[in-house]
Amino acid sequence: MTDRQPLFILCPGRSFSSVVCTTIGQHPELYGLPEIYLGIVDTVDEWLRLPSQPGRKHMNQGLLRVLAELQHGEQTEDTVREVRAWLRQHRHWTTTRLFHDLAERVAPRQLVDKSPTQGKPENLRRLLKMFPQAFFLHLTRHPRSTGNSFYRAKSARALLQGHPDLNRLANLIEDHWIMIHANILGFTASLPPGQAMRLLGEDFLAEPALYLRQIAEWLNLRTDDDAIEAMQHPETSPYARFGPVNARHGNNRGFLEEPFLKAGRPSPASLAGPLEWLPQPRGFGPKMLRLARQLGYQ
Amino acid sequence: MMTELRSPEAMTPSHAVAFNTLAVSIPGVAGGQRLQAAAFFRKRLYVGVLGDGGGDRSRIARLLRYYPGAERWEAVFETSVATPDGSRQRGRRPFPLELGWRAITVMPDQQGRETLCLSLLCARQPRLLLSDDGERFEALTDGGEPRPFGPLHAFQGWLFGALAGAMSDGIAEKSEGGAILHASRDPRAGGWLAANVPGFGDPHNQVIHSFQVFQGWLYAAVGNPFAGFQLWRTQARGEPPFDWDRVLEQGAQRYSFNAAAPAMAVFQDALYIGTGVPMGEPLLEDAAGCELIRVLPDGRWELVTGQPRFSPIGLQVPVSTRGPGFDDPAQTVLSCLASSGDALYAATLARTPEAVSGFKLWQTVDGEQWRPIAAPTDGPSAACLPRVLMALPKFLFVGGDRCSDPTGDRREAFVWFGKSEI
Repeated sequence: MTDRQPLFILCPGRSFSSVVCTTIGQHPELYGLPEIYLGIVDTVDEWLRLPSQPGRKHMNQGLLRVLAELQHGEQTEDTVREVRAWLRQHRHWTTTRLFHDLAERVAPRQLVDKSPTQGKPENLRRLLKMFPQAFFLHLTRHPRSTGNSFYRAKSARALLQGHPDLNRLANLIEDHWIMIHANILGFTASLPPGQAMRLLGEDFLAEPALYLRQIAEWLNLRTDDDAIEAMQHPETSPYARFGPVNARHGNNRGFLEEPFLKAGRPSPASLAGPLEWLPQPRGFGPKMLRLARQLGYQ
Repeated sequence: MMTELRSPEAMTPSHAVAFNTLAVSIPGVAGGQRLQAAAFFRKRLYVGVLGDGGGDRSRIARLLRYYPGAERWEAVFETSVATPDGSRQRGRRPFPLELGWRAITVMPDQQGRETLCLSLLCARQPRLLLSDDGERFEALTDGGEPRPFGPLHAFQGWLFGALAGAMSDGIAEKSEGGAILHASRDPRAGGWLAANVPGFGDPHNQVIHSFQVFQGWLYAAVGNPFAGFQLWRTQARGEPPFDWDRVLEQGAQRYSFNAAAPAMAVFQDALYIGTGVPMGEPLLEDAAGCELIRVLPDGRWELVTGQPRFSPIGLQVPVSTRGPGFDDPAQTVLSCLASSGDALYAATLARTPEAVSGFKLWQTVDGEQWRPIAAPTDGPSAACLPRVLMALPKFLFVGGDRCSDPTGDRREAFVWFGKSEI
């Protein structure tokens, strides 16, 4: 077991997590991961079976790319095939053991992980059990922007798959945002002050250098200009491009197509007004409004 | 950083405060009292209390003066009762015209003379009392002009007061368009002028909870339940409305978790600000532990106790190494701050939508290392609700009320005089 403590980025999907994770992970003392999903199951055997579940087809690809890179120094069809075989040989391992194995392979750098489905309470507890002293970064994005982004991505996928149950999907977006953020707030409130921090994605994108330096300071890492400059080049990450055909993804598709940190405050969004993605227009409910204001949104 | 945040109690210096408890009794008046406001004026202690006993005169507000040598209290002012039509008719139940004391402050004039200024909570309209000698009180209620109702503060020859409406169900009505301050050079002559634009331009800035003067500026903390409290300051130059600068916003980047800042005090070249939703304002179920923030002479701010966070001016880690609520997230309101010059004192409360309980007193000599002070609660501290904290060198005054029966329905005033080793 390693004593190197990872940084886990916690958020719902569509919260700038690919660019934020890869950017932070470019600090010389850190190692940014694509989406590896080790925090959502207990064993490698369960993890290997994730793609057979609905909506989880690509969940193996990020870790396959990481293992190929770390074990063979390159991500090719052959190295991905080899690490898949290696994983099958180690299917009896716990995901905790595999996560610590990754941490030791990148030492003295620290892992940065951002798998989006980790917002469920059981998954958050699992992460803490894996690394009791880990750092947690609660990443947020305005619920209207998140909802619009989520709806566009999901509806496009649903239409492509021929199952455009869009009304049901649209009504779930608000509940999903509330559930994930409320879970993360409850979890981080249970930790000692300083083990978890919250970051507004919009603030980060508006002034990345300002917040990257604070993140480095929080993690007790170098804060010199060279380190902060390195962080602002996510495109240099080995995972900031499409992988080989047998492990092509592992990150947000839009980020893989344009893996750059585009500094600038995103278009302003408001909690007021009807929700664009609903067939019958209505505004955010009171639960959403209260939670969003607590997180800094208006 | 996690390790740094855990500070052993043994590291904090110990400066004991020895308290004497003073019974608050009014000659000829039975029943309990609630202590609501206090001030020192002409070397005498004045406290505003509200009756909590039975009978028609049970809810009368009184101003009491304490004589230290004789150790006795004297009622120097009391409010009246009236029947619904204003007369004292037989068979009609009288009711109190005032609902208690909101603030007591001392206003100096340019010749150095002082005036005692008192604001009363009223069912009908705000009421301001003035006294030059602590004996005779002039009530300012007529004329239809706006009258300050909330906290009062004297600054640069002006008396500032936060304007608010009447009380309804124990909650002060909010001003349309946001919180309004008024200022007058001569409250007796009227001339109350709007000292700011409503809400400082934001209608969600609803109530001014506290004032403080720091390095030639008057600071006002305004509650905003949507985006978090804001801190504004003015030098009060020229005529009202004055120019105001915003010093803090968004609850110091804790947003609606820091909806209000009910306490401020100046200590060792910094302005200290306590957060939490004060009594009389609606509280949400998921209120967070209170924070203490300080503004430095150069305008920067630092977290003293509270939740570490990122901010536009850099990483904020509590300099005290204590988290929200002084490491107890259940302590949701920092209700009072007072500086003696040598020490800074704070009172915190565990306030939930259902109840207020478990108050704690804290002391620091350097602004950073805080230690709890044992208060003479004479029973569970859960029963005590401090309303006033005043400090002088080697001296601390705590006033408030506490439950006087097991049901918690009846309350009685308490006054503690504390002598500090520093």
